[in-house]
Amino acid sequence: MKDELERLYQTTYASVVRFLYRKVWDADRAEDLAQEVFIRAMAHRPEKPRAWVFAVAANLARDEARSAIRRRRHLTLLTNEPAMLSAPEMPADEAVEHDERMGQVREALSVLSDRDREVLLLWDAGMSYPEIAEQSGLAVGAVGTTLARARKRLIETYDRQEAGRKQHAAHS
Amino acid sequence: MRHIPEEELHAYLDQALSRSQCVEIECHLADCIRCRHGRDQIAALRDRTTALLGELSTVGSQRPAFAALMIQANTRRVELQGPATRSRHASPWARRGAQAAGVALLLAAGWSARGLVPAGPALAGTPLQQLASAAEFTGFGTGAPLLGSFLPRGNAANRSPAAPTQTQADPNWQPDPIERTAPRRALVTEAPGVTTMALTVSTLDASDYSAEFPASGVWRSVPWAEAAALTGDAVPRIHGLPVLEIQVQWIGPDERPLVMVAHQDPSGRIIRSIEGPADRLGEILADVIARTDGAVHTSQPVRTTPDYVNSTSGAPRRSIRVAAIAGRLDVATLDELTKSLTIR
Repeated sequence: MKDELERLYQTTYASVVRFLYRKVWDADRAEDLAQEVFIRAMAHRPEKPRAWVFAVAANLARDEARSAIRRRRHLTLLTNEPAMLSAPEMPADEAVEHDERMGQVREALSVLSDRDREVLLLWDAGMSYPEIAEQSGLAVGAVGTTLARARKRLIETYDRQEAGRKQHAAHS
Repeated sequence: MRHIPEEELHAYLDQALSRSQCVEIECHLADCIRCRHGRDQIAALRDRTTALLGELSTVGSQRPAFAALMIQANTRRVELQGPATRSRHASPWARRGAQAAGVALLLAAGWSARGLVPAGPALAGTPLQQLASAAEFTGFGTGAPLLGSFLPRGNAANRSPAAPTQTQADPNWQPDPIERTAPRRALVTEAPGVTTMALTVSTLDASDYSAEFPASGVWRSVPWAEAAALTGDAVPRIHGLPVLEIQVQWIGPDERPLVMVAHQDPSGRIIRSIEGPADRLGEILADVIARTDGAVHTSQPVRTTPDYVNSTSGAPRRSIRVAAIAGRLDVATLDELTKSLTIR
């Protein structure tokens, strides 16, 4: 079991951090929570550790969002935090562009319904359809439908923002 | 001719279909231009989604050692199996009572050390005065400035006033009887087939290492450089003792995290130096003392560089930060060790 957990930890840690980051929008916090997830997994030794890890991660992220609201951090959540994730060696103009893109993707993600976003992020974290179904409460057959809708809406929203940004740049 | 539904093409490209379903789809695609076109569009959509989500990746994510997390997991299992279960599931009042007892021990321990150790880098005055001086800057100290900052939230001492009063009334009061008679906490019981991981601690059982200091909150193991970067070079290290592990605990967006450094002395005992906001640090230490039945002692707090954090009123609030040393050593020794504490 320990070997299995260790292997899971090595192969999944980055995915869990990424999954959490896209929910809490704070890189340090995402890492804190990811460590908490794996500590819990090691303490509880679940039967299906991979699905369990993401289920706990989702729950922790939800708790985090609630406490963030309590702490009136919602303003922070809705604004860009460009400096935090810019690669340090990135030239300034590229960093600005990267941050703008990130902001747009975040905004596009926020347009999705909670369930669609959850399914999309779980898929991006590498979970299989049955695992996503188990965690989200959807039927396995409905995962494809949800993913199709989520992907389409994400891209459409992003493209619309991008077009608006280009138009704005052309006018100014 | 039945065309392939869009969601099925998504599932096909996501490799979520059975082999027979894939064969069926591939046979159809071979003959149907429309579905092939649909597949290509969905593949492009899928790739773009991956690329867009890739924009949101964190950089510099560093995975801590599996062993380090396993240690913390072992602590959790001890809590689930051992005496801590009682306090976790006890009524809030009972838990606060335990915290009050811990605080009394903390304060009494500090008091008993007074006069034994030169002031050194520590804050001036008695431990109570030090806590008061830390509390007065936080804005929460009104009414009970003495205990407002460095005590657990919910101010257990107010509900059990006898303990601190006793220490003030009788400076010779000693907490030792509790320490001597307290039963040692049960160590980790490993689940079948699981062995304790090898740790850099050579003379101490790894489970004992973590179980002896059940610090509350979510701690993350980090390398030295990251700890230094996160805390603004405020990692508290005891000069001359090897470092086993550095952990940080996130506090808030405007504040530097709590940082805890585990050291090992030549006889194998673990000594921790902790730096962070006075109120949170006080909570954690009081909780550790309560949960270890007073077996852990702490040094007098030493003031470090404060933070200025945003408050709801708009004016920056000064957050007093302190450092302390904790371990299963007597208070005088811990106080002596604060002279070797370097904050950098």
